[in-house]
Amino acid sequence: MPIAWKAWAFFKRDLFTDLSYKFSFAFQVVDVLVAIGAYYFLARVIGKGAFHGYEPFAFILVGMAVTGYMTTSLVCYGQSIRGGQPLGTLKMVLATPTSPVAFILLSSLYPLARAGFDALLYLAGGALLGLSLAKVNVPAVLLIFLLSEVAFSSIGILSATFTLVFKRGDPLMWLFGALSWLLGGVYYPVDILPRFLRDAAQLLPITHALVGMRAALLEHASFAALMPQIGILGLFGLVGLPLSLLAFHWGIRWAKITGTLSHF
Amino acid sequence: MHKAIVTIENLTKSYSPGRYLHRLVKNGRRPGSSPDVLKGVNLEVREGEVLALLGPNGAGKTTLVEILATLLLPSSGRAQVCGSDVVREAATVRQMVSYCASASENFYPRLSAARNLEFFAILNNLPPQQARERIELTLAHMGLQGKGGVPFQHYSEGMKQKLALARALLKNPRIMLLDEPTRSLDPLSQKEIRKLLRGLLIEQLGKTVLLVTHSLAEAEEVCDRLAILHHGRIVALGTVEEVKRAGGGTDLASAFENAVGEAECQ
Repeated sequence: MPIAWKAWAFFKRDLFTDLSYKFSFAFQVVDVLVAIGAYYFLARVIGKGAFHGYEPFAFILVGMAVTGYMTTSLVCYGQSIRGGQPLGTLKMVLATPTSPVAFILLSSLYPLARAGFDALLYLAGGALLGLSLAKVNVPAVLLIFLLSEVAFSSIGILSATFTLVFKRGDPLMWLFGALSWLLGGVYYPVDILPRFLRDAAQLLPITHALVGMRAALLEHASFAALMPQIGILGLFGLVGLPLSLLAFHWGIRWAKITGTLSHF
Repeated sequence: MHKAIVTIENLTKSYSPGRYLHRLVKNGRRPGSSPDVLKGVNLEVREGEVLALLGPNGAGKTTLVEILATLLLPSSGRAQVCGSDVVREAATVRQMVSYCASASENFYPRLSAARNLEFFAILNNLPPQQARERIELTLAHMGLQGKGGVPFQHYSEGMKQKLALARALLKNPRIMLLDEPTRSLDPLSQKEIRKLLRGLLIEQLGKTVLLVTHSLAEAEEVCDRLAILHHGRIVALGTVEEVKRAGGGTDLASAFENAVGEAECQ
Protein backbone atom coordinates (compact mmCIF):
# COMPACT_ATOMS: atom_id res chain seq x y z
CA MET A 1 0.00 0.00 0.00
CA PRO A 2 2.83 2.49 -0.60
CA ILE A 3 0.57 4.88 -2.50
CA ALA A 4 -1.90 5.01 0.42
CA TRP A 5 0.99 5.66 2.85
CA LYS A 6 2.25 8.38 0.58
CA ALA A 7 -1.20 9.93 0.31
CA TRP A 8 -1.42 9.97 4.12
CA ALA A 9 2.12 11.41 4.37
CA PHE A 10 1.23 14.34 2.08
CA PHE A 11 -2.05 14.90 3.91
CA LYS A 12 -0.32 14.90 7.30
CA ARG A 13 2.43 17.21 6.10
CA ASP A 14 -0.08 19.85 5.01
CA LEU A 15 -2.42 19.34 7.96
CA PHE A 16 0.34 19.82 10.54
CA THR A 17 1.75 22.79 8.65
CA ASP A 18 -1.72 24.36 8.59
CA LEU A 19 -2.31 23.62 12.27
CA SER A 20 1.03 25.18 13.18
CA TYR A 21 -0.48 28.54 12.15
CA LYS A 22 -3.14 28.41 14.86
CA PHE A 23 -4.70 31.83 14.35
CA SER A 24 -4.61 31.61 10.58
CA PHE A 25 -6.57 28.35 10.70
CA ALA A 26 -9.19 29.82 13.03
CA PHE A 27 -9.49 33.04 11.06
CA GLN A 28 -10.07 31.18 7.80
CA VAL A 29 -13.13 29.66 9.45
CA VAL A 30 -14.25 33.06 10.79
CA ASP A 31 -13.73 34.49 7.30
CA VAL A 32 -16.24 32.03 5.83
CA LEU A 33 -18.77 32.78 8.57
CA VAL A 34 -18.46 36.55 8.03
CA ALA A 35 -18.92 36.09 4.28
CA ILE A 36 -22.09 34.05 4.92
CA GLY A 37 -23.47 36.92 7.02
CA ALA A 38 -22.70 39.43 4.27
CA TYR A 39 -24.45 37.29 1.61
CA TYR A 40 -27.43 36.88 3.89
CA PHE A 41 -28.01 40.62 4.13
CA LEU A 42 -27.22 41.17 0.47
CA ALA A 43 -29.78 38.51 -0.49
CA ARG A 44 -32.50 40.23 1.54
CA VAL A 45 -32.45 43.27 -0.76
CA ILE A 46 -32.62 41.20 -3.98
CA GLY A 47 -35.88 39.91 -5.39
CA LYS A 48 -36.51 36.18 -5.69
CA GLY A 49 -37.69 36.30 -9.32
CA ALA A 50 -34.21 36.93 -10.71
CA PHE A 51 -32.86 33.55 -9.57
CA HIS A 52 -35.05 30.99 -11.37
CA GLY A 53 -37.17 30.46 -8.29
CA TYR A 54 -34.22 29.87 -5.96
CA GLU A 55 -33.96 31.89 -2.78
CA PRO A 56 -31.30 34.55 -3.53
CA PHE A 57 -29.41 33.61 -0.34
CA ALA A 58 -29.35 29.92 -1.32
CA PHE A 59 -28.35 30.77 -4.90
CA ILE A 60 -25.41 32.96 -3.86
CA LEU A 61 -24.30 30.66 -1.04
CA VAL A 62 -24.04 27.63 -3.32
CA GLY A 63 -22.23 29.87 -5.83
CA MET A 64 -19.69 30.85 -3.17
CA ALA A 65 -19.21 27.29 -1.91
CA VAL A 66 -18.51 25.97 -5.41
CA THR A 67 -16.29 28.94 -6.28
CA GLY A 68 -14.35 28.31 -3.09
CA TYR A 69 -13.37 24.79 -3.99
CA MET A 70 -12.88 25.74 -7.64
CA THR A 71 -10.36 28.40 -6.62
CA THR A 72 -8.54 25.92 -4.39
CA SER A 73 -8.39 23.38 -7.23
CA LEU A 74 -7.00 26.01 -9.56
CA VAL A 75 -4.29 27.27 -7.22
CA CYS A 76 -3.25 24.36 -4.99
CA TYR A 77 -1.20 22.51 -7.61
CA GLY A 78 0.77 25.62 -8.57
CA GLN A 79 1.26 26.40 -4.88
CA SER A 80 2.80 23.00 -4.26
CA ILE A 81 5.39 23.85 -6.93
CA ARG A 82 5.91 27.48 -5.90
CA GLY A 83 6.10 26.55 -2.21
CA GLY A 84 8.71 23.84 -2.77
CA GLN A 85 11.00 25.87 -5.03
CA PRO A 86 12.37 28.44 -2.57
CA LEU A 87 12.45 25.89 0.27
CA GLY A 88 14.35 23.41 -1.88
CA THR A 89 11.89 20.69 -0.91
CA LEU A 90 10.64 20.28 -4.49
CA LYS A 91 14.00 18.86 -5.54
CA MET A 92 14.24 16.68 -2.48
CA VAL A 93 10.79 15.21 -3.14
CA LEU A 94 11.61 14.61 -6.80
CA ALA A 95 14.84 12.86 -5.79
CA THR A 96 12.77 10.18 -4.02
CA PRO A 97 11.20 7.18 -5.81
CA THR A 98 7.83 9.01 -5.79
CA SER A 99 6.86 9.89 -9.34
CA PRO A 100 6.23 13.55 -10.27
CA VAL A 101 2.64 12.70 -11.23
CA ALA A 102 2.01 11.07 -7.83
CA PHE A 103 3.63 14.10 -6.18
CA ILE A 104 1.37 16.64 -7.88
CA LEU A 105 -1.80 14.63 -7.32
CA LEU A 106 -1.06 13.78 -3.69
CA SER A 107 -0.07 17.38 -2.92
CA SER A 108 -3.67 18.39 -3.57
CA LEU A 109 -5.28 16.01 -1.04
CA TYR A 110 -5.23 18.28 1.97
CA PRO A 111 -6.10 21.54 0.16
CA LEU A 112 -9.02 19.86 -1.60
CA ALA A 113 -10.26 18.24 1.61
CA ARG A 114 -9.97 21.62 3.29
CA ALA A 115 -11.91 23.25 0.44
CA GLY A 116 -14.61 20.58 0.84
CA PHE A 117 -14.74 21.39 4.56
CA ASP A 118 -15.12 25.11 3.76
CA ALA A 119 -17.93 24.31 1.32
CA LEU A 120 -19.69 22.36 4.10
CA LEU A 121 -19.13 25.30 6.42
CA TYR A 122 -20.89 27.58 3.92
CA LEU A 123 -23.88 25.24 3.92
CA ALA A 124 -23.93 24.73 7.68
CA GLY A 125 -23.62 28.48 8.32
CA GLY A 126 -26.32 29.11 5.73
CA ALA A 127 -28.60 26.57 7.40
CA LEU A 128 -28.29 28.53 10.65
CA LEU A 129 -29.54 31.61 8.77
CA GLY A 130 -32.49 29.86 7.19
CA LEU A 131 -31.06 28.02 4.18
CA SER A 132 -33.30 25.03 3.59
CA LEU A 133 -31.41 21.78 3.02
CA ALA A 134 -34.51 19.61 3.17
CA LYS A 135 -34.26 18.64 -0.50
CA VAL A 136 -30.63 17.55 -0.72
CA ASN A 137 -29.79 14.59 -2.93
CA VAL A 138 -26.59 13.62 -1.09
CA PRO A 139 -25.19 11.04 -3.58
CA ALA A 140 -25.79 13.48 -6.45
CA VAL A 141 -24.10 16.31 -4.53
CA LEU A 142 -21.08 14.09 -3.89
CA LEU A 143 -20.89 13.04 -7.53
CA ILE A 144 -21.10 16.62 -8.82
CA PHE A 145 -18.48 17.64 -6.25
CA LEU A 146 -16.14 14.86 -7.32
CA LEU A 147 -16.59 15.43 -11.06
CA SER A 148 -16.20 19.19 -10.78
CA GLU A 149 -13.07 18.77 -8.60
CA VAL A 150 -11.52 16.59 -11.32
CA ALA A 151 -12.50 19.09 -14.03
CA PHE A 152 -11.12 22.07 -12.06
CA SER A 153 -8.00 20.09 -11.14
CA SER A 154 -7.20 19.53 -14.82
CA ILE A 155 -6.90 23.28 -15.22
CA GLY A 156 -5.03 23.56 -11.90
CA ILE A 157 -2.42 21.00 -13.01
CA LEU A 158 -1.99 22.80 -16.35
CA SER A 159 -1.49 25.99 -14.37
CA ALA A 160 1.16 24.24 -12.21
CA THR A 161 2.91 23.14 -15.41
CA PHE A 162 2.91 26.74 -16.56
CA THR A 163 4.47 27.77 -13.24
CA LEU A 164 7.11 25.07 -13.65
CA VAL A 165 8.06 26.19 -17.15
CA PHE A 166 7.42 29.97 -17.22
CA LYS A 167 7.48 30.66 -13.44
CA ARG A 168 5.08 33.66 -13.34
CA GLY A 169 2.28 35.31 -15.27
CA ASP A 170 0.02 32.29 -15.59
CA PRO A 171 -2.66 33.12 -18.19
CA LEU A 172 -4.69 29.98 -17.40
CA MET A 173 -5.33 31.08 -13.85
CA TRP A 174 -6.48 34.48 -15.06
CA LEU A 175 -8.59 33.08 -17.86
CA PHE A 176 -10.43 30.47 -15.84
CA GLY A 177 -10.44 32.31 -12.53
CA ALA A 178 -11.71 35.66 -13.78
CA LEU A 179 -14.02 34.30 -16.46
CA SER A 180 -15.58 31.85 -14.03
CA TRP A 181 -16.50 34.74 -11.74
CA LEU A 182 -17.86 36.78 -14.60
CA LEU A 183 -19.63 34.17 -16.68
CA GLY A 184 -20.05 31.06 -14.54
CA GLY A 185 -23.22 32.09 -12.72
CA VAL A 186 -21.78 32.55 -9.25
CA TYR A 187 -23.77 35.67 -8.25
CA TYR A 188 -26.37 35.76 -11.03
CA PRO A 189 -27.90 33.28 -13.49
CA VAL A 190 -26.05 32.84 -16.78
CA ASP A 191 -29.34 33.59 -18.62
CA ILE A 192 -29.02 37.32 -18.03
CA LEU A 193 -25.79 37.46 -20.07
CA PRO A 194 -25.78 38.45 -23.76
CA ARG A 195 -26.00 35.50 -26.14
CA PHE A 196 -22.29 35.29 -27.03
CA LEU A 197 -21.26 35.38 -23.37
CA ARG A 198 -23.85 32.72 -22.54
CA ASP A 199 -22.26 30.51 -25.21
CA ALA A 200 -18.79 31.22 -23.83
CA ALA A 201 -20.03 30.32 -20.33
CA GLN A 202 -20.80 26.79 -21.54
CA LEU A 203 -17.07 26.24 -22.08
CA LEU A 204 -16.38 26.73 -18.37
CA PRO A 205 -16.76 23.75 -16.03
CA ILE A 206 -18.03 25.97 -13.21
CA THR A 207 -21.18 26.83 -15.20
CA HIS A 208 -22.19 23.17 -15.24
CA ALA A 209 -20.95 22.51 -11.71
CA LEU A 210 -23.15 25.34 -10.39
CA VAL A 211 -26.28 24.27 -12.27
CA GLY A 212 -25.80 20.68 -11.11
CA MET A 213 -24.91 21.55 -7.52
CA ARG A 214 -27.85 23.94 -7.07
CA ALA A 215 -30.26 21.39 -8.48
CA ALA A 216 -28.86 18.54 -6.35
CA LEU A 217 -28.63 20.60 -3.17
CA LEU A 218 -31.79 22.65 -3.34
CA GLU A 219 -34.24 20.72 -5.56
CA HIS A 220 -33.39 17.05 -4.90
CA ALA A 221 -32.72 16.64 -8.62
CA SER A 222 -32.40 13.00 -9.68
CA PHE A 223 -29.36 11.53 -11.45
CA ALA A 224 -31.43 11.42 -14.64
CA ALA A 225 -32.21 15.11 -14.41
CA LEU A 226 -28.54 15.84 -13.75
CA MET A 227 -27.24 13.78 -16.67
CA PRO A 228 -26.32 16.80 -18.84
CA GLN A 229 -24.14 18.28 -16.07
CA ILE A 230 -22.71 14.89 -15.08
CA GLY A 231 -21.87 14.15 -18.71
CA ILE A 232 -20.23 17.50 -19.42
CA LEU A 233 -18.23 17.56 -16.17
CA GLY A 234 -17.20 13.94 -16.74
CA LEU A 235 -16.03 14.83 -20.24
CA PHE A 236 -14.02 17.80 -18.94
CA GLY A 237 -12.27 15.48 -16.48
CA LEU A 238 -11.87 12.55 -18.84
CA VAL A 239 -10.15 14.67 -21.46
CA GLY A 240 -8.59 17.29 -19.20
CA LEU A 241 -6.95 15.18 -16.48
CA PRO A 242 -4.83 12.90 -18.71
CA LEU A 243 -3.87 15.88 -20.88
CA SER A 244 -2.86 18.00 -17.89
CA LEU A 245 -0.87 15.14 -16.33
CA LEU A 246 0.91 14.58 -19.64
CA ALA A 247 1.69 18.30 -19.83
CA PHE A 248 2.99 18.20 -16.25
CA HIS A 249 5.21 15.21 -17.05
CA TRP A 250 6.72 17.18 -19.95
CA GLY A 251 6.98 20.29 -17.79
CA ILE A 252 9.13 18.36 -15.29
CA ARG A 253 11.20 17.01 -18.17
CA TRP A 254 11.67 20.54 -19.52
CA ALA A 255 12.80 21.78 -16.09
CA LYS A 256 15.28 18.88 -15.86
CA ILE A 257 16.68 19.78 -19.29
CA THR A 258 16.98 23.51 -18.59
CA GLY A 259 18.03 23.09 -14.96
CA THR A 260 15.17 25.25 -13.71
CA LEU A 261 13.43 22.91 -11.25
CA SER A 262 14.24 25.19 -8.34
CA HIS A 263 14.07 28.50 -10.24
CA PHE A 264 11.20 30.79 -9.30
CA MET B 1 39.92 -3.62 -6.30
CA HIS B 2 36.24 -2.83 -5.69
CA LYS B 3 33.87 -2.84 -8.65
CA ALA B 4 32.49 0.44 -10.03
CA ILE B 5 29.10 1.32 -8.59
CA VAL B 6 28.74 4.52 -10.64
CA THR B 7 29.90 4.66 -14.23
CA ILE B 8 29.90 7.91 -16.17
CA GLU B 9 30.82 7.82 -19.84
CA ASN B 10 31.38 10.83 -22.06
CA LEU B 11 28.70 12.79 -20.23
CA THR B 12 27.79 16.26 -21.48
CA LYS B 13 25.25 18.73 -20.21
CA SER B 14 24.03 21.96 -21.70
CA TYR B 15 21.16 23.93 -20.21
CA SER B 16 20.06 25.01 -23.67
CA PRO B 17 16.87 23.16 -24.64
CA GLY B 18 17.66 23.78 -28.31
CA ARG B 19 20.89 21.84 -27.95
CA TYR B 20 19.09 18.97 -26.25
CA LEU B 21 16.36 18.78 -28.88
CA HIS B 22 18.88 19.06 -31.71
CA ARG B 23 20.90 16.19 -30.28
CA LEU B 24 17.77 14.21 -29.72
CA VAL B 25 16.80 14.55 -33.37
CA LYS B 26 20.14 14.65 -35.19
CA ASN B 27 22.66 13.54 -32.59
CA GLY B 28 24.84 16.48 -33.56
CA ARG B 29 25.94 19.87 -32.25
CA ARG B 30 24.11 23.02 -33.06
CA PRO B 31 26.60 25.83 -33.64
CA GLY B 32 26.18 28.94 -31.52
CA SER B 33 24.14 27.39 -28.75
CA SER B 34 25.09 27.86 -25.09
CA PRO B 35 28.30 26.15 -23.93
CA ASP B 36 28.25 22.78 -22.26
CA VAL B 37 28.52 22.76 -18.49
CA LEU B 38 29.88 19.22 -18.68
CA LYS B 39 32.10 18.32 -21.65
CA GLY B 40 32.52 14.58 -21.94
CA VAL B 41 33.05 13.55 -18.34
CA ASN B 42 34.31 10.01 -17.74
CA LEU B 43 34.40 8.83 -14.15
CA GLU B 44 33.88 5.78 -11.98
CA VAL B 45 32.97 5.62 -8.32
CA ARG B 46 33.95 2.32 -6.73
CA GLU B 47 31.89 0.47 -4.18
CA GLY B 48 32.71 1.47 -0.61
CA GLU B 49 34.94 4.43 -1.48
CA VAL B 50 34.62 8.14 -0.86
CA LEU B 51 35.33 10.05 -4.02
CA ALA B 52 35.70 13.79 -3.50
CA LEU B 53 34.72 16.03 -6.40
CA LEU B 54 36.66 19.27 -6.28
CA GLY B 55 36.67 22.23 -8.60
CA PRO B 56 36.26 26.00 -8.81
CA ASN B 57 32.80 27.59 -8.76
CA GLY B 58 30.90 26.85 -11.96
CA ALA B 59 33.04 23.81 -12.79
CA GLY B 60 29.96 21.59 -13.11
CA LYS B 61 30.17 19.65 -9.82
CA THR B 62 26.57 20.14 -8.73
CA THR B 63 25.37 19.55 -12.30
CA LEU B 64 27.15 16.18 -12.33
CA VAL B 65 25.72 15.19 -8.95
CA GLU B 66 22.19 16.29 -9.91
CA ILE B 67 22.35 14.17 -13.06
CA LEU B 68 23.18 11.17 -10.87
CA ALA B 69 20.29 12.12 -8.56
CA THR B 70 18.01 12.17 -11.68
CA LEU B 71 17.19 15.84 -11.09
CA LEU B 72 18.78 16.86 -14.40
CA LEU B 73 18.80 15.19 -17.80
CA PRO B 74 22.17 14.89 -19.51
CA SER B 75 22.49 16.21 -23.08
CA SER B 76 24.52 13.21 -24.24
CA GLY B 77 26.65 10.40 -22.90
CA ARG B 78 25.69 7.91 -20.24
CA ALA B 79 25.61 7.58 -16.47
CA GLN B 80 24.74 4.40 -14.63
CA VAL B 81 24.26 3.60 -10.96
CA CYS B 82 24.60 -0.12 -10.17
CA GLY B 83 24.00 -0.82 -13.85
CA SER B 84 20.80 1.26 -14.07
CA ASP B 85 20.74 4.18 -16.47
CA VAL B 86 19.94 7.52 -14.81
CA VAL B 87 17.64 8.53 -17.67
CA ARG B 88 15.91 5.34 -18.77
CA GLU B 89 15.77 3.71 -15.33
CA ALA B 90 15.48 6.83 -13.20
CA ALA B 91 12.97 5.29 -10.78
CA THR B 92 15.34 2.40 -10.02
CA VAL B 93 18.25 4.79 -9.58
CA ARG B 94 16.23 6.86 -7.10
CA GLN B 95 15.77 3.74 -4.96
CA MET B 96 19.54 3.32 -4.62
CA VAL B 97 20.79 6.89 -4.43
CA SER B 98 20.41 9.44 -1.66
CA TYR B 99 21.01 13.06 -2.46
CA CYS B 100 22.00 15.59 0.17
CA ALA B 101 21.79 19.05 -1.43
CA SER B 102 24.17 21.86 -0.57
CA ALA B 103 21.57 24.13 1.05
CA SER B 104 20.54 22.83 4.43
CA GLU B 105 17.15 24.54 4.30
CA ASN B 106 15.38 21.96 2.16
CA PHE B 107 12.96 20.80 4.86
CA TYR B 108 9.52 22.00 5.90
CA PRO B 109 10.37 24.69 8.46
CA ARG B 110 7.24 24.48 10.63
CA LEU B 111 7.26 20.71 10.96
CA SER B 112 9.34 18.94 13.57
CA ALA B 113 12.51 17.14 12.50
CA ALA B 114 10.85 13.76 13.08
CA ARG B 115 7.78 14.68 11.01
CA ASN B 116 10.06 15.89 8.22
CA LEU B 117 11.97 12.62 8.29
CA GLU B 118 8.75 10.59 8.43
CA PHE B 119 7.46 12.36 5.30
CA PHE B 120 10.64 11.68 3.34
CA ALA B 121 10.94 8.11 4.65
CA ILE B 122 7.50 7.24 3.32
CA LEU B 123 8.23 8.94 0.01
CA ASN B 124 11.24 6.64 -0.12
CA ASN B 125 8.87 3.65 0.07
CA LEU B 126 9.51 2.75 3.72
CA PRO B 127 6.42 1.34 5.45
CA PRO B 128 5.35 3.54 8.43
CA GLN B 129 6.59 1.15 11.14
CA GLN B 130 9.97 0.71 9.47
CA ALA B 131 10.11 4.46 8.87
CA ARG B 132 9.71 5.15 12.60
CA GLU B 133 12.47 2.68 13.46
CA ARG B 134 14.82 4.16 10.85
CA ILE B 135 14.07 7.69 12.06
CA GLU B 136 15.03 6.80 15.64
CA LEU B 137 18.15 5.05 14.43
CA THR B 138 19.34 7.81 12.10
CA LEU B 139 18.62 10.55 14.64
CA ALA B 140 20.70 8.58 17.13
CA HIS B 141 23.48 8.10 14.56
CA MET B 142 23.60 11.87 14.08
CA GLY B 143 23.51 12.66 17.79
CA LEU B 144 20.05 14.20 17.47
CA GLN B 145 18.19 11.81 19.78
CA GLY B 146 15.67 13.73 21.86
CA LYS B 147 15.60 16.55 19.28
CA GLY B 148 13.12 14.93 16.89
CA GLY B 149 10.18 16.91 18.23
CA VAL B 150 11.83 20.30 17.68
CA PRO B 151 10.52 22.27 14.68
CA PHE B 152 13.08 22.36 11.89
CA GLN B 153 13.15 26.16 11.91
CA HIS B 154 14.54 26.10 15.46
CA TYR B 155 17.52 23.96 14.45
CA SER B 156 21.01 25.45 14.22
CA GLU B 157 22.94 25.22 10.93
CA GLY B 158 24.96 22.28 12.21
CA MET B 159 21.84 20.42 13.33
CA LYS B 160 20.17 21.10 9.97
CA GLN B 161 23.13 19.59 8.16
CA LYS B 162 23.06 16.54 10.42
CA LEU B 163 19.34 16.19 9.78
CA ALA B 164 20.01 16.31 6.02
CA LEU B 165 22.49 13.46 6.47
CA ALA B 166 19.94 11.58 8.58
CA ARG B 167 17.40 11.95 5.77
CA ALA B 168 19.93 10.68 3.24
CA LEU B 169 20.51 7.59 5.42
CA LEU B 170 16.83 6.75 5.97
CA LYS B 171 16.46 4.39 3.04
CA ASN B 172 19.86 2.77 3.59
CA PRO B 173 21.10 3.78 0.12
CA ARG B 174 23.81 2.10 -1.93
CA ILE B 175 25.38 5.46 -2.73
CA MET B 176 25.21 8.87 -1.12
CA LEU B 177 25.65 12.07 -3.11
CA LEU B 178 26.72 14.79 -0.70
CA ASP B 179 26.89 18.30 -2.12
CA GLU B 180 29.03 20.48 0.16
CA PRO B 181 27.77 19.07 3.47
CA THR B 182 29.98 21.41 5.52
CA ARG B 183 29.17 24.63 3.67
CA SER B 184 28.42 27.62 5.92
CA LEU B 185 29.28 25.71 9.07
CA ASP B 186 31.63 26.92 11.78
CA PRO B 187 34.95 25.02 12.14
CA LEU B 188 33.70 22.92 15.06
CA SER B 189 30.55 21.84 13.24
CA GLN B 190 32.61 21.13 10.12
CA LYS B 191 34.86 18.88 12.18
CA GLU B 192 31.84 17.11 13.63
CA ILE B 193 30.29 16.49 10.20
CA ARG B 194 33.58 15.21 8.80
CA LYS B 195 33.86 12.85 11.76
CA LEU B 196 30.38 11.57 10.96
CA LEU B 197 31.28 11.18 7.28
CA ARG B 198 34.41 9.18 7.92
CA GLY B 199 33.45 7.38 11.13
CA LEU B 200 29.79 6.62 10.56
CA LEU B 201 29.05 6.61 6.83
CA ILE B 202 32.25 5.02 5.66
CA GLU B 203 33.84 2.99 8.44
CA GLN B 204 30.70 1.92 10.30
CA LEU B 205 28.05 1.71 7.54
CA GLY B 206 30.33 1.13 4.55
CA LYS B 207 28.54 3.55 2.27
CA THR B 208 29.80 4.65 -1.12
CA VAL B 209 30.00 8.43 -1.14
CA LEU B 210 30.44 11.02 -3.86
CA LEU B 211 31.37 14.14 -1.94
CA VAL B 212 31.32 17.56 -3.56
CA THR B 213 33.48 19.97 -1.64
CA HIS B 214 35.45 23.18 -1.97
CA SER B 215 37.57 22.30 1.01
CA LEU B 216 40.89 20.70 0.11
CA ALA B 217 41.44 19.83 3.78
CA GLU B 218 38.09 18.04 3.87
CA ALA B 219 38.93 16.09 0.73
CA GLU B 220 42.30 15.14 2.10
CA GLU B 221 40.83 14.08 5.46
CA VAL B 222 37.83 12.15 4.24
CA CYS B 223 38.28 10.81 0.72
CA ASP B 224 39.90 7.71 -0.75
CA ARG B 225 40.23 9.28 -4.20
CA LEU B 226 39.51 12.69 -5.61
CA ALA B 227 38.61 14.15 -8.97
CA ILE B 228 39.15 17.75 -9.97
CA LEU B 229 36.55 19.12 -12.35
CA HIS B 230 37.24 22.33 -14.26
CA HIS B 231 35.17 23.89 -17.03
CA GLY B 232 33.19 20.66 -17.32
CA ARG B 233 36.19 18.34 -17.68
CA ILE B 234 37.97 16.04 -15.25
CA VAL B 235 41.48 17.48 -15.10
CA ALA B 236 42.87 15.28 -12.32
CA LEU B 237 41.86 11.95 -10.83
CA GLY B 238 43.44 9.60 -8.32
CA THR B 239 44.31 9.20 -4.67
CA VAL B 240 45.41 12.31 -2.81
CA GLU B 241 49.04 11.24 -3.19
CA GLU B 242 48.65 10.52 -6.91
CA VAL B 243 47.05 13.90 -7.54
CA LYS B 244 49.76 15.63 -5.51
CA ARG B 245 52.50 13.84 -7.50
CA ALA B 246 50.84 14.54 -10.84
CA GLY B 247 50.58 18.21 -9.86
CA GLY B 248 54.28 18.26 -9.12
CA GLY B 249 53.75 19.62 -5.64
CA THR B 250 53.88 18.41 -2.12
CA ASP B 251 50.53 19.73 -1.03
CA LEU B 252 47.04 19.42 -2.46
CA ALA B 253 46.58 23.18 -2.82
CA SER B 254 49.42 23.51 -5.35
CA ALA B 255 48.32 20.32 -7.13
CA PHE B 256 44.83 21.81 -7.41
CA GLU B 257 46.18 25.13 -8.72
CA ASN B 258 48.42 23.37 -11.22
CA ALA B 259 45.64 21.09 -12.51
CA VAL B 260 43.24 24.00 -12.92
CA GLY B 261 45.96 26.26 -14.34
CA GLU B 262 47.07 23.72 -16.94
CA ALA B 263 43.48 23.15 -18.02
CA GLU B 264 43.07 26.93 -18.33
CA CYS B 265 46.10 27.12 -20.66
CA GLN B 266 44.73 24.33 -22.85
